[in-house]
Amino acid sequence: MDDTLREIQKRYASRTLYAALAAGALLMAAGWPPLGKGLILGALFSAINFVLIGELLVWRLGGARARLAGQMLRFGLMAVPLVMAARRPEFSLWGVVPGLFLVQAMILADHGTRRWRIRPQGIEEG
Amino acid sequence: MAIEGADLVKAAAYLGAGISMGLGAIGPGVGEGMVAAKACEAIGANPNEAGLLTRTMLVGQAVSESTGIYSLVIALLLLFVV
Amino acid sequence: MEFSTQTIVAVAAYAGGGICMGLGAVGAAIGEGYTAAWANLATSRNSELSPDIFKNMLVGQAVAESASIFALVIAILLLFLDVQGAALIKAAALLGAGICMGLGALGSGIGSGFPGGQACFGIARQPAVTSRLTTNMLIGSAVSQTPAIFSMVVALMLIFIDFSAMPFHPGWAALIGAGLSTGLAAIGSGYGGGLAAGASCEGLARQPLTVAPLTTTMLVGQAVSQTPSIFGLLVSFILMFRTPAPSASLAAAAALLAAGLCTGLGGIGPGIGNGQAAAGAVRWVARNMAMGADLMRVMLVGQAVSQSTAIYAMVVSLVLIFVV
Repeated sequence: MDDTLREIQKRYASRTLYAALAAGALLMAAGWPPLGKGLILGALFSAINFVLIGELLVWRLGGARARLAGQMLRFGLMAVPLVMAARRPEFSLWGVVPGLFLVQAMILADHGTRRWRIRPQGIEEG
Repeated sequence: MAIEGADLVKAAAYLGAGISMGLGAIGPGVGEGMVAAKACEAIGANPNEAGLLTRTMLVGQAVSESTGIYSLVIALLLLFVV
Repeated sequence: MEFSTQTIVAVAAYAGGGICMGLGAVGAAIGEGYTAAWANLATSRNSELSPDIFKNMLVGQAVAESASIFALVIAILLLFLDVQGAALIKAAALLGAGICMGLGALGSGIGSGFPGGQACFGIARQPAVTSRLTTNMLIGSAVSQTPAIFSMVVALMLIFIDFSAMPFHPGWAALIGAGLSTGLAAIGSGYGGGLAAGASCEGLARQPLTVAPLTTTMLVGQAVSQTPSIFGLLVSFILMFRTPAPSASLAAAAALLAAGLCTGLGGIGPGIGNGQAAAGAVRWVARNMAMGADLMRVMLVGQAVSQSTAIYAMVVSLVLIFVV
């Protein structure tokens, strides 16, 4: 069971980072370094958060306090890039915010294009 | 800033109108949705009676709408009469 | 004891940020809990499938969590905003922004958990359609986030638009009312959209051949369930962009605050009700596909009727803004 979990974590986290690096480099080359750096920073924490959702699932079995601690840890983590962007001019907030949703965007894009990429097998045809 | 009695009454009437219509809309909204959900289920189970079931749904919804209309009346009274 | 304007604005920003994150976390936590609960049920029913169920749950929760990340973004913005030299009216705008995003994340957070849970259970029931279930869950869950996105748009406008031209009295009530209107109305639409999405995942697992009409009915039902939050958005825009005449009277402020409350509260019920109607229709499209068109028609008629109280609420709000 760990293999599939790891595999899906790796798939979306790495896609997120690659997409962020590509888009960030593009933005930096286009003359908006704070926007590009912010996007990469946001995407990094988005990927870490996604991996942690899976890792902290074990904590969910540990009763209410452990569950709450896991949730707080992840929210605290997501706040880090936002606070950095608010405090430091080299990261733009308008880059960080889209970056934070990049994992979700990757998941949706992966499933949204699946219809055209994979031929549904027999029974599934509706 | 001194608040006069008439001003306070008007303010309370306006707030009351908003809260009356706002809260009053929750019940009929949920209730009529339940009616519509059950009507869909019933038509799915027995398609031959679709016309009868739609009529029953609309009558049921009209009745459960009445409390929303009471709220509207009270809100308009508070706005224009009080 | 007298406070400087800057202190008051900062206090409002911190209070708004707290309300925003506090309420915003509740919705997503309930939604994720619902998904996890159904994932457990699914695993107990068919434990060999636990890797697939687990994967689906992980992806579903990541998307369902978006609403609370919206709230986190707005809360951090409020906490670290530069309030130097801001006018007093900014305090009301910031408080309104926090209320708007906090309430707005509540319904979407809970609602987007429903498709996740039903998709997990559906995998246990019908493993052959795992991939379709995940796709359907993600579409439903993402559409259920729309009301939270409306709330974030209004919150960002309240934070970044310069309202200093608006007279403080009764402008403060207009801005808090603008936050309440979209925020409260989003609760019902988010929850209702989630009900429809959950029912479509349940139906897809029951009858995989019906996927096309199921998804269509779900999307139409969700779109109609979103109307109350669009009414809320409309009233918020009017309240933000119509500069009220300066007046010291309490009644003028009460009217604007009540306008926001009225459309906001009035949107909760119809949003949930429309979602229930859509869920009922979707559930039976799966069992009786031949009746798809009739079910859609009955659903739309039923939704239109249960929408009417939201329209009454909006009319009362417009009277409160423009007439009295």
